[in-house]
Amino acid sequence: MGDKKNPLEEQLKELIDFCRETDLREVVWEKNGTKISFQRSGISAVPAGSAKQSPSMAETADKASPEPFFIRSNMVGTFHRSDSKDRPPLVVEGTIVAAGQPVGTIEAMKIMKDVVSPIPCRISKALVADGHAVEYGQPLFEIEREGAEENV
Amino acid sequence: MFKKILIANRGEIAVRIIRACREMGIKTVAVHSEADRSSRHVTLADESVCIGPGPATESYLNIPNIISAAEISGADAIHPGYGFLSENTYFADVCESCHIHFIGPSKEAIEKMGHKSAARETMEKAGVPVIPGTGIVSVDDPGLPKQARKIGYPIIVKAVAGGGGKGMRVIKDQDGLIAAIQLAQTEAKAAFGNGEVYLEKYLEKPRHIEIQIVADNKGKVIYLPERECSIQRRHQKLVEESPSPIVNEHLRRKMGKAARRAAEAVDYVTVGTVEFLVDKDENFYFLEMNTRIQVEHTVTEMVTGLDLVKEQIRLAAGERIDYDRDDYPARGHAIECRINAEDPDHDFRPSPGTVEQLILPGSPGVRVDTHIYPGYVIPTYYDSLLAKLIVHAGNREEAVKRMERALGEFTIEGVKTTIPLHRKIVAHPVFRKGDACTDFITTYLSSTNGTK
Repeated sequence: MGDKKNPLEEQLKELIDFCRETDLREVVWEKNGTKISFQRSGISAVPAGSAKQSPSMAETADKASPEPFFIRSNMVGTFHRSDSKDRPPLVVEGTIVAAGQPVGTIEAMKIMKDVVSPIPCRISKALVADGHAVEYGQPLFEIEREGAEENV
Repeated sequence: MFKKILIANRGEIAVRIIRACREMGIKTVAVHSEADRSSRHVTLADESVCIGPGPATESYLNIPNIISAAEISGADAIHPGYGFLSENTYFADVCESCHIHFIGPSKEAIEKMGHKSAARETMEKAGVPVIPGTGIVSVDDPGLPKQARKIGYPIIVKAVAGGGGKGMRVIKDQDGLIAAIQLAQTEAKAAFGNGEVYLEKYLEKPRHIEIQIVADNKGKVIYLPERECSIQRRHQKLVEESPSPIVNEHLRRKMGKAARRAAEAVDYVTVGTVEFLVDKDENFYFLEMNTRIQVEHTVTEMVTGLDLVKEQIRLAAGERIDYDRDDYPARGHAIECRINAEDPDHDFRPSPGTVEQLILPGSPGVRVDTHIYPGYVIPTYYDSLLAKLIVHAGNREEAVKRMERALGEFTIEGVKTTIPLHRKIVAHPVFRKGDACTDFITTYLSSTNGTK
């Protein structure tokens, strides 16, 4: 890496490119006391119900009919479809959501936390009923990606 | 009694706890990281909850997710096992405020024993012998050389927040005093974020001997036969046995009573261990108290016939000790070898990978506690303990022979393990004579110990 301008940045770029080409959801890279870890914004790169080798994310995004992805739980708790009692679900099948938009809440230790969509997408299926317990990494919604923007 | 226990741990100890619960008719909840999805404890438990990604800081140390897992599964108690959150005062406190029973001593007892210099003071007051030493030292203190002379060289400098040998240095004479303290301070600051160090008399050729105590919440404390844990590398135990080859009835009683005083001083409840260093003149000194179940609890179980994990759960639930005496006799002799996924020929570096072949030893007096199975992939995130091989026999000589035989049969293929090293240890004349001190590995097996 010798005299490159910013070797770390170069390496990081290489690492992200590498990640893009594979199905990796999470990368932890450690060298000489420097540690970098990143995740693909809570979205599975593996299309639902597909046992075969899945195409890369870039490939998927180019396709005419988008393959399903998931919004997953990033904590343990009780899942709610709405943000408070007696309110309708925040999203239903077909709702178009923006990146960062709340799609549900998870209650843990009497505290409610929003579940947000990491990318712009269309909700195609709710997978967990209101009031059900969820674990870390559990798929909550099946989604279709909106737009072809790559999201790592 | 508890109805459902969540086990906030992984590996062999999670399996051990689930087994005890099953026999007691208590439901179990396993928590696991994404890296441990196919781990044995997940399969064995009645329910399981994924609590985070591989790194322990985000899963097995993730207090909100663990508490939340207890809440959604309806667990009324949490068993912390060893390591991870087992001696974490804050975790014990959170459990209490969420009305979940923490299976262990009170948070006050954990706190008092967790801080080394505070524990020392508590022990001195309780009349438990401690190694001559100082409080926190500063290199700017002009009285420092005098303090050091009073303790007597060699001296060891230790980190207040220490553990695992970090922030420790041996000082042979006054010339090296200041430099060694400064080095230890820098190391301690880097490792624990706390650079405070203190001085202690360094015992040459000491034995590490510990006393298991069992206490109920009515103030009854009994002590069990001692465990000898002198065979270590880098302050990590490798082989443990009970009873110790050097402890006689007189010393056993003296150490047992000291351990009981230590437990009483912090109103200890459930099971715990008081660790001592013993010198060649049978002087013993308090080292620390472990406020949890320990890896090596098994050798005590073998010689007493007790199930310490069940006892721990019963005592945490408020049951009383139903036993008249304050000591407990040992029957025969037990030895444990820790089988780690490490390469002893290359400085014990971790050897992750897939367990391709697994053949366990058997027959009377042989016990294997493990979470591994053929095809098991050892995650890189956690400690390297794969299995504990424990043998029990009528006396030490028979137990050593039985261990030698069992180690000869034990086969793990696919990863490097400490099995070959254990074969060398049990074959060594110094070990067979029962003369191994804490420097055994570096002194006698230095070729297998690699670079220091």
